[in-house]
Amino acid sequence: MTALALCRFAHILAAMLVFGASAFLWLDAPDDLRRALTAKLRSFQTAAAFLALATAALWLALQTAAIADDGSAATDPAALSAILFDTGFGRASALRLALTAALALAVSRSGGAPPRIAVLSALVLASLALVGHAVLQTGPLGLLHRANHALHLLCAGAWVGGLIPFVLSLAAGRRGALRHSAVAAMTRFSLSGHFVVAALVATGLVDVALTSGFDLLPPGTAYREWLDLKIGVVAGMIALALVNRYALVPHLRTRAKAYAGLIALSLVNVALGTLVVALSSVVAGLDPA
Amino acid sequence: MKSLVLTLALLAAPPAFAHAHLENSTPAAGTTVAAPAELRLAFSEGVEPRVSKVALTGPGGAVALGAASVEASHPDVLVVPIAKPLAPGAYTVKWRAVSVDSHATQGSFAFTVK
Repeated sequence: MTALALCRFAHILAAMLVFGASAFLWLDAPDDLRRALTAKLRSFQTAAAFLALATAALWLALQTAAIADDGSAATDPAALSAILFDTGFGRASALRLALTAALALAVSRSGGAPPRIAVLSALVLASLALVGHAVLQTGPLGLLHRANHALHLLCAGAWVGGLIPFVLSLAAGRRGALRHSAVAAMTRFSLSGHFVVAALVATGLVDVALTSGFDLLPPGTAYREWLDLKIGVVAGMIALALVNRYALVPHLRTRAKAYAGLIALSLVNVALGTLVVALSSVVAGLDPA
Repeated sequence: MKSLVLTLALLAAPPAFAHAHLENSTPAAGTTVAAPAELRLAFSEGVEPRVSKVALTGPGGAVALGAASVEASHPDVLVVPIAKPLAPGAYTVKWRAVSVDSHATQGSFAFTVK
């Protein structure tokens, strides 16, 4: 993995975790659970938001070096400003730097209310559709590609990031005063998760179609191999999520092992989701042709 | 889903690929031409004119070129004006293109001025 791909990976994952977690707290969690989990997740959210800010800046530097084919360009003010002001990538980077700075500020000040953090991190994710393969086309098709890609990133973030407070809710739901709220939040997350995952797959297919120019991607290229691997891992994640929902959840009340299994498999899906973001960050730097 | 993909396919513009490959140029590679006033490099996708680079060398060494630009209607064609009329001889164009999705590609081609 190149430094650029690694930076892209850390940036996208950080934004997804902040978005998914805050969207869960905002939309799925009842008041008492939201208060408890917001406090618990505060340092996690702060770290992820500042990582997103730092990697937004680093990405600009590394992309400048890659474009110039010269490592020293990463710290050259003239080269950086040429990219920042004279390219579409640079203008999108400036926007993303501003958004991640606002996000870091919102998270670090008084913990930040989940709606504000969810909206800001959603904008950070959506702004990623202004760079990379999504900007290939102009006109209505270009608009469709950007909107589709933004939706794809938001669905991925809602899923992977939402699993963090989901696992915390599982632990909280085992006993005590938060039990009812935890069950309600997990039920909502699980129900909406069906639509989120369906939209994730649909937007993924449209993304591939638009990036490939509606042609079959030639086999044997690095792009195709990494993309196939990514699709395979996502299929595994969906299978695991189905096992969680339809094999483990029905036994939560009666079998202690189902609890431990659900927590463990949910964390496996967080790890697999992280792997998928890493694979996507590699694919983003390859030539589909 | 299938019908959505098909619908999209019907709307499709020409295939788009993610790195800027040189599709053709004026003067074309390997041709002998009258002294051109500009170089036109047509790529497989849109390029960033301010950070893409084109260099021309001929019998007298490096040739002075104007600032590269693209026309609004053709973001994939890089146009580079040539400052002074070219003397007869063999010329080499070296280019490094940055596509709108910020991938860099490079290459070179030669032509002859009669």
